[in-house]
Amino acid sequence: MPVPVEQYLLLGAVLFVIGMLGVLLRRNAIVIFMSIELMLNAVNLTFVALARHLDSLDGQVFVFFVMTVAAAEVAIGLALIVAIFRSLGTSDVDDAHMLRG
Amino acid sequence: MNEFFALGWEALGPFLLVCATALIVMLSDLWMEDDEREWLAYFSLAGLAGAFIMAMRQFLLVSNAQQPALAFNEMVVWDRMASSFHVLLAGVAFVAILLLPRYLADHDDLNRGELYALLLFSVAGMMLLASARDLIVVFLGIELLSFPLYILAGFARPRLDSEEAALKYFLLGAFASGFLLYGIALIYGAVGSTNLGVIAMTFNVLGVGETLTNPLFLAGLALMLVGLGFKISLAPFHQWTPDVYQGAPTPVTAFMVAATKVGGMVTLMRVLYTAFIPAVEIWVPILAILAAITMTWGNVAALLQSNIKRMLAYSSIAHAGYMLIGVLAGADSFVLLYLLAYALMNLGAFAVILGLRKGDGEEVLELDDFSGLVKTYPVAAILLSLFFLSLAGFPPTAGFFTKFMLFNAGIAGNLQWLVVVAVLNSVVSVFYYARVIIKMFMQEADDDLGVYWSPDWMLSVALAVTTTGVLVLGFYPTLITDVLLEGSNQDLLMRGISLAVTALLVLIGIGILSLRTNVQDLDEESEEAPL
Repeated sequence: MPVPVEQYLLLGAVLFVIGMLGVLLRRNAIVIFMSIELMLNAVNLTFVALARHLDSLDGQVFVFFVMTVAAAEVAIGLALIVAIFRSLGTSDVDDAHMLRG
Repeated sequence: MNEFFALGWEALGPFLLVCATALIVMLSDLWMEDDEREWLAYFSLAGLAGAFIMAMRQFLLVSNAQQPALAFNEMVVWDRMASSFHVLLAGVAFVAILLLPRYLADHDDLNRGELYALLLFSVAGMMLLASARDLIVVFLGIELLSFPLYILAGFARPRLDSEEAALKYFLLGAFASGFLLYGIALIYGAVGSTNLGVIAMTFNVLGVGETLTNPLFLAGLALMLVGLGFKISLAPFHQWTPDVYQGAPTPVTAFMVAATKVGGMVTLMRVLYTAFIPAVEIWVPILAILAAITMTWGNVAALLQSNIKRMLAYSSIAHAGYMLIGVLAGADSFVLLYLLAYALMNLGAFAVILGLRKGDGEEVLELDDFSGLVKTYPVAAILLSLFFLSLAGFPPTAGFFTKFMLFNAGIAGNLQWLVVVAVLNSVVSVFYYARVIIKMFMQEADDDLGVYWSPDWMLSVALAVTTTGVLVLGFYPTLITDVLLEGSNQDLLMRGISLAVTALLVLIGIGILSLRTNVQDLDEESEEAPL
């Protein structure tokens, strides 16, 4: 018996919320970054499920673009985190608080 | 092969030209010695000038066409809005690049060729957004706009404030992209397509009421607005803006303040006007309330700042609120006009700030550093006052005229209460702009700061262009608005020549006055020397 599309959408929503909570609650830059990736992959799951349900290819093509963009994002994000780790000695975002006001 | 050529490449002409320039800059940087990097600036300027001329030609072509042209299987549109924003973006990026070499002369460690390439890629992303007709293109354009900016914000590494700005910008930007994407996915689920035109058509097929009660659609629209709100720093999603604008290297801040607003606003208009026009009763009240909060928050917070970059960051948030009035009133050409004036004023103000240096080579960023500037360097003080008066909306400057047109459009679009809020906010904004002017003209300078004024020729050109723009839009706006708003191509050459001549006169004026102050410095020094 095939899994109905609603359950995929629900799973996507749950994963997205978990990722969102991770971004809001965790303080380590790498964990925050992983949570953002979880959000993006929740979106990918939603796209693929919807593409299957709607019988249209647009959603699947979109997933390829999201994956490519996410890969570029990893390159930039990790480079930035490494750079700030070298200066601060930590990747805790609460320790990056020079700019206030 | 024919299909390849029939995609409609000319619709993306300026975008492709800027991309090609960026790639060539990035490649040729590999063979460059440190002292040859200036050629990269000249080459980028040439590429942007080419894109500007191409976009202008396309703009004149398309303003007389009846139908907008669709290209790349309806993923890209070539209409008046697209071409006019291409013109504006190429111009803004041109001036932004003029600001770079003076700053690099004092910051050797930043003198890397990627600086120009990244800036050009970011502009290319904004140009793509101006032509977007599909949510895939919107997504790619936003990421192409943002990724280079994440790197540029952190370009002054290992300076900690720059790294911190980059990290905050990156994490919040990526977070916002997640919301935007999820919104796109849900709308795709509700409609079955990511094409903006098709989304608008489903309202007719399924019925407006049916579509608007679809929870997938409503959630998607809300999430997309959150994602886009982050990008144009709408309150309450604006918290990253002051930190990022303060921490980024100053010329990069100038570019971000001026250009990202253009890119963000055109995206918002593309998405709302093409796809969601039938849902107008839903997003107008939401965005109107957000606009009121945004301008009030931005202006009140700007009152409390002592750092000029941070103050201008909050001022840019407030200006985004004003621009939303035009977006909500459906007056895209007035938004364009306001963005033009806004970019000119901000780039001009940053050009003055970049031309000033303290004796120890540090940047002049604290408001107290500007005290008594008029006595030592009247040119700098007068130009900065001009830009700040324009930002505050005093006549006869660009800021007054464009704000007037924008608020007029708001009243015509039944947003009277929002216009009242905006006018009250403009009054508040006078306080913090005038504070800097009062410091420059009324207060005595702190002697040991030793601020000096030393623009290079590129900075002077940038100042001449922005001053001319601000004054012409204030005194004789029809010179520009006839072409920009009505697409008239009469006397185009004469208009261009008169603008160029005015700019040249201003440039000579700035040059002579700066030279005179420098000569005076030398005299004073030579007088003091025997002692």
